[in-house]
Amino acid sequence: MMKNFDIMGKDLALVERRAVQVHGAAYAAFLAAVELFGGLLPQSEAKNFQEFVYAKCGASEEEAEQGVNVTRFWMQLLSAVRRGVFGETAPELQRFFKAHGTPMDHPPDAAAKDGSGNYIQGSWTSYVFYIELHAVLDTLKKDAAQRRETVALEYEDLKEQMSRRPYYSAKNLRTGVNGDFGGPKQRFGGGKPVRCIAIEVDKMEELGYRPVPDEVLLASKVKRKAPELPGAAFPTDPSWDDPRKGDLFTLIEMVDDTGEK
Amino acid sequence: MALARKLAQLVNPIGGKLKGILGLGVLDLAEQYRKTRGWYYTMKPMSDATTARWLKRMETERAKVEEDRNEDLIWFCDLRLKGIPTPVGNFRLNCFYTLVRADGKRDSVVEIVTDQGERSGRVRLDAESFSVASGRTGFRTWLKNHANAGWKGGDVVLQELQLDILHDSAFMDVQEVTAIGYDVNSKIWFMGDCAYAGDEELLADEDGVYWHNGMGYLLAETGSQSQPFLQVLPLMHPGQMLEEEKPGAGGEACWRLAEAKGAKAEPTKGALSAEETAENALFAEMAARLKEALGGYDAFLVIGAVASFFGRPEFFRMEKCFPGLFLHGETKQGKSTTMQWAMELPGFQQMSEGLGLGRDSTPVGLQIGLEQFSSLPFWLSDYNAAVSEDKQEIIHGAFNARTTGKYAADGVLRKKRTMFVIDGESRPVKTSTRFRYLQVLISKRNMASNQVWWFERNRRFFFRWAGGYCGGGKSSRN
Repeated sequence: MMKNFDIMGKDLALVERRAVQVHGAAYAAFLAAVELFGGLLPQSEAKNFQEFVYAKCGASEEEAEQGVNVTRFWMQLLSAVRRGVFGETAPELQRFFKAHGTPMDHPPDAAAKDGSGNYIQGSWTSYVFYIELHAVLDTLKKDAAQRRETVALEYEDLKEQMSRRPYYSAKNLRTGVNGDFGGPKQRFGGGKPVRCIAIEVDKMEELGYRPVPDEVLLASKVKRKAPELPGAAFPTDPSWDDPRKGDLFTLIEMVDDTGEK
Repeated sequence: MALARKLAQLVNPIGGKLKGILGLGVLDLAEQYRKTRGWYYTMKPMSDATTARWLKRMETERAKVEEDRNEDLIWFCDLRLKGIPTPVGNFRLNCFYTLVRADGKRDSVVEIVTDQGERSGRVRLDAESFSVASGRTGFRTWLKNHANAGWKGGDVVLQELQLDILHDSAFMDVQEVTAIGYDVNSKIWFMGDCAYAGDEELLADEDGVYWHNGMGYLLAETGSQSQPFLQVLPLMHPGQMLEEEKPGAGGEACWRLAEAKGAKAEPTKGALSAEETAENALFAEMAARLKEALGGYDAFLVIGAVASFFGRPEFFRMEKCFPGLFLHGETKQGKSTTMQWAMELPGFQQMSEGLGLGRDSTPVGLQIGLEQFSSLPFWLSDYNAAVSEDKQEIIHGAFNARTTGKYAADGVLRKKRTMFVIDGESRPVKTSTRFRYLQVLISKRNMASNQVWWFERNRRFFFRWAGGYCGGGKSSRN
């Protein structure tokens, strides 16, 4: 059994060890049983089974990542935003969140140009998303209590876990006058400036900026006409869903204060 | 009784060698010995004057010339000098062996036979019960609790009885085993009806003791701290062999058990015996049909997850952890049924459900399960979001056999020797707990074909596979 497990461990060296252990024990034991009981698996079946287990192992790692506390926080946050927990209008939401965009010629790592010398993916706005974490957590906890759920992390733990992520802005690392947490200050809801957390949306995988190849972006812009209707392909739909924008952009675009400055 | 009879013969009017000799009291002594029948007795010493009188009589007889000397009288005087037989207990103890308990204490395993012929069966005589004649843990209390027997001797006589028992127990140590499955110390797999030491299948003797390399092992009737086993014991049915039945009217391949007659025929080198062929075919059929039932390769993983328990000792040694199995999905989708089939593989036969995670179990109950079964799956049923945090912690910690930091009155912390297999409608909310278990979604929507009839017909034979994995009786395979 351990021989089979070692082979799988080498094959999946880059996958999180826990996922390999959990799937590898069963996989290796089944192969050992097959050896013991006369090798019932044809080569093709064995190959398919291996691919199935390796894929399941990888999916498990991904699901585990989704379940990591800081990831759960973002999921809970977006769910609460959708349910109107933080308010429905931009001014209501801006009591908790702000976003400030910087126009860029092109998205990160998408500098290819077409024959006319234009960037294929066009211009892009790089956002810094500010979140008043204390107020957000208080509101989330209240909402969770009503739903008999819990918010996994307290402020310090959440900030600590976020600080290990690439999207955690360097602005957050500034030290205050007294050597305590400095970080950026923003006015939320028109009040006095308060300390908050700055998130670099371009470095936030999945929920923030999602890099896509040029051809995928172009394909997404062209919507084919329904075959039962006459005529050729029609232009890009105004309700086009930009594949580069993760779920957080819905919120970002509502609390964008770029034009206000 | 032999002494009483001999004494009576000595004063028999016909030929008795001591008949007519006055002042001996032969029949009185015979009656006193007769009264000790079936009893423990002690010899009550005589007074100094009486002893001197009997010594003088014996010396006088010895001094006579050989033709006049009465040897029977000398023998009687010698017997008289030993004292008066005085009964102290209306029973006899038959000693079988010393049981070395899991906590290191040593019990004598004895049988009490009363003067009326009643037998207690094998009972344990622990050191505390032997320590004093009286008191709440004294010998008299122990006796009364196990037989219609009493003790009217004192501590000194009791010490002599203890020495007798210890003498009879020499070189008869038997190690008590309180966990079903793999025993770390002996490296033997103890199942409900046999044991496996490497390739060797061990059968218990008439006392229920397994002997291996000169050491005896007794599988306890309960787990540690006298807790009844929380799961049925796995059965391997030694002495029986698997046979493939001819397909019936429906063309379904089925199996049956038959008595193994005599020694197994040695298969030709490189060829499989008939039994091995039947076992291979059953395993292949079972794996293929479970794949149909679950609708994919998850079936192989379910088999592998249960099979992996037999590799847990080595896996845990290398990885310092061991994953469990979690079958989840909506109600009435076949989670419990699949788990019932899976539990047949290590020999847990005809289980209908595991230990419930509702109010009928406690966190301690879960810990007891982890201690009672060693490298064998322990089944928990009906996981849901309402499972208490205490239980969730145990389900979480079983992965790496995390020890508890709780006070134990006897100083012995519960061991975690195995891992859970769980079925439930929901999975643990805590991500780190969830990913300590191999998760398989059971859904009828995935099912390729219904295999319930075949599994219910053949599930009771799946255990044949476990013996092969333990190594028992399958040396040719290994």
